[in-house]
Amino acid sequence: MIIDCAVHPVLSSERFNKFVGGPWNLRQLPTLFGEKYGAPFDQLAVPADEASSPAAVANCLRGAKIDYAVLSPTTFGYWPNPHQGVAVAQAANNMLAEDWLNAPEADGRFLGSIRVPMNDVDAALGEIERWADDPRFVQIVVPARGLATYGDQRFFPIWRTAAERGLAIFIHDDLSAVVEPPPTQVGFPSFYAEIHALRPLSGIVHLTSFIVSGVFERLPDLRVVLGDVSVHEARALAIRTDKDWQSDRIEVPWMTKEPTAYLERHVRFVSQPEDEISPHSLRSTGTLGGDNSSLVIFGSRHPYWDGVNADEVFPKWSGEERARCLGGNAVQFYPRLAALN
Amino acid sequence: MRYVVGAVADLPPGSSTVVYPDKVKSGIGVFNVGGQFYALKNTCPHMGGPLCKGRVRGTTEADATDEERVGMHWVREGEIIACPWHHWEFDIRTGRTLFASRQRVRSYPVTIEPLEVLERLKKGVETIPVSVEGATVVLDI
Amino acid sequence: MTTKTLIRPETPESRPDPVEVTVIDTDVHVEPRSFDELIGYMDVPWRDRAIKARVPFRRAGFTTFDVAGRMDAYPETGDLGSDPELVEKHLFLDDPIDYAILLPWSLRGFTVDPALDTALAGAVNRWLAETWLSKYNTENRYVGSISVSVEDPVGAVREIEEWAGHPGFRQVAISHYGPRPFGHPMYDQIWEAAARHRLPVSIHFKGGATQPLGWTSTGPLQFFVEYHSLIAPMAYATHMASFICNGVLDRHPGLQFLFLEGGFLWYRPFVDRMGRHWQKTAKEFPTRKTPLQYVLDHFRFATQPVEEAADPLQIATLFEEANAGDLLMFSSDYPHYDYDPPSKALPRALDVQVKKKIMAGNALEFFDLPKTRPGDRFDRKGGR
Repeated sequence: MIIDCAVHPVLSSERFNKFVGGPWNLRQLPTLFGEKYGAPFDQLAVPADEASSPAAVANCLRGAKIDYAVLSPTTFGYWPNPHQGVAVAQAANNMLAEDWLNAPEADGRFLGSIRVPMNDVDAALGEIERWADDPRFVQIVVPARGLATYGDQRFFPIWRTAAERGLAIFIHDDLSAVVEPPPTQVGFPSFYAEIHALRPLSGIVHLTSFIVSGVFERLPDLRVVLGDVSVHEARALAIRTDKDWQSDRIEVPWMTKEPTAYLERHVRFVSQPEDEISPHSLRSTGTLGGDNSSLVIFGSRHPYWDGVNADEVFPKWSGEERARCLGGNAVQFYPRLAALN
Repeated sequence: MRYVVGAVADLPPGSSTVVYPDKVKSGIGVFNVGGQFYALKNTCPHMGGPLCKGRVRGTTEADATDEERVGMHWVREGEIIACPWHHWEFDIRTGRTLFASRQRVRSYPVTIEPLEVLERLKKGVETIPVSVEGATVVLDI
Repeated sequence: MTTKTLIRPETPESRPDPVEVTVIDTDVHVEPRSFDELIGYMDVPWRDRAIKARVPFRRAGFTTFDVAGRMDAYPETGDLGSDPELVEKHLFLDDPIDYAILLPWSLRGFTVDPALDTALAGAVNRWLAETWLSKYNTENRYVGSISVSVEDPVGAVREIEEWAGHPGFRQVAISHYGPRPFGHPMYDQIWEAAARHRLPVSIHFKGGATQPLGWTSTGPLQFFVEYHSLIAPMAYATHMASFICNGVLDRHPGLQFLFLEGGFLWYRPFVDRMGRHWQKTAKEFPTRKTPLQYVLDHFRFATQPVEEAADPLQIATLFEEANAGDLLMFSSDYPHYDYDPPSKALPRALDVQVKKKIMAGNALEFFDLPKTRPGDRFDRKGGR
């Protein structure tokens, strides 16, 4: 069985504006990939109309022998106007359910992600409640770039509800962000190539924040999936946090073990294109913080240009290990996918 | 062998000293924690730092009484030593790290001997040049 | 009458045999005894007590909870790292190194006024030249860095020009923060001056005054344990990409950078990601090599705080997969609390030849230092 944990339907602007309604549809929607860092090539791997067509996406996944696909449309990151933020999340969820999950072509193989407005926790909880009874929604998706780190106490009710309702948290970087602090702590880089390389860092910040602020200690059932971070990069930085935790444990006494020890229970990493060339990827077991073959779940990143093909991931691993990455790990990790076993 | 550290009166509760017996050149820290004496090797098992020159303090403990948020207490004042290199915390009573690890600092038995016992022990006892007039802290090394 | 030449017995004082250099510490922080000592080295208009109030040395928000320096390294009088006798004992006798690369730490980037920042850097350089590079440097074990303010490129170039000819200064030292990543053309004159004088540039993590401390691409960090582990590598990754994409390394093919106190293992997954689709992503600018090749040619990393793991084989494997033998140089961060002693810093299971290159070989090349040195009083005292 192959489960694609990272498929990103493009919500067509015209249709999205119908869902979002007035007055928000009087404003122009941002472009999908943002205005600042245009790539010197087309960032969609398929024609735009196919990326926003449920039938075309279903067909494409069928061709790639994908059994189930977790869909998470991008909604342009963090919205400054809290009312618009709520309207956008609601519209995205309505549209995902109506146009995609209910699409006859999907044949029940599309799974959904609940979008929540991050500047209004009460509204976020309301949105989760609106959808959580629908078993096709398997996760909550939150932007990798926000205005606060996700260990912050203000977000805790969202994570608690997710853990209680068996929803995983998917952290994904919407390239186009409406509110945008500098994308690095030393200002704006010059080129797309830089931004692309730096993209995993936001997710790593949230991962570290979840760990050290005690969210995983308080919510033993919370599961977090990082959409844009290779397991190797996360590990290479978590090793440093292990040391700082040893030195300043008194700052975070709720932690009962070193940061890397939280990965196995609480975190999975979507397969990244660089996994294909990383020397770390040759090893499936015996790696720090857990085996690679347990920590990585397959995600094609369809329809984006830097996608990953199911038949190309971790070619050096054993058949059993590859099967875990392609499906077994997701079944084991997402509470709502356990039934697929 | 036994090593005389000094008079009990010179090591009141909350104080500590580092002695340097010939046999343990890097030194041994002797701590009075609430009237009980403990001795730890002055060498951190992590990277060899002079552990007993570090700060003797308490530590934090998570407070889980409020489900809505994490909190902490300050506890065990005077029972913890933090290495001056890298700040690893050790329980003075056991020599163990406060975070789970296999690392442990070597500890030594400490006894308090009355003056008359001390006189009998004098031969073969390595001493530091202090005049000892009462109960005395003695290390077994 | 016949005369006979007697061979003069060798005195214990003469040690003609040169000593092989086996340990170079690339990150040692020495300081003036107090800020007042430094003020004495400032140009007249700056020699005004009021500047003390304008130079906030402490950023109390993100600090370790225990004492920030090695508690056994504080002298009886004067600031941490300011007493030559104590520093000598710790560096050359206790766990001995051969050369110490000096980076006066407390004095750069701590003010919002770029002119004052450069004036402070200039005073640090004059002070270092007169003290640790001369009168305290009797055995020639100290190697200096030209401190410059990276936020004042014109002043930085002036400092480099002033000191590049001094044999004691072997690199340019900057702090990690700038308002734009370091490949931006505004900084190029600094790299041009360093390259022209064949000086490498080392970048040290530090909380400067203009820096929005603890801010990331997704809001501010909250805990010191996240700040101390993430801020430096995230900034270094940004600068690394910026140097590569903005042509700095093509314009200055001999220039090398050393990233201090920011870890090492992260660079490999980072450049793997950068390099994975390089033909596509690099279309916006001229480029001559792959990101990995730029790293191998131009970037080096200092060990401290050395990445550790309970399993020595696991960590050694990670080191070797990240070309540790070619890219890593030992550093201790003396006299700060997270000091890594040379005898214990590296993973035990690392290959012996790789260890040798990390402990001295790579730094000998990077700083162009002699591979042997005369035996001296520290060797005699330490029985080396």
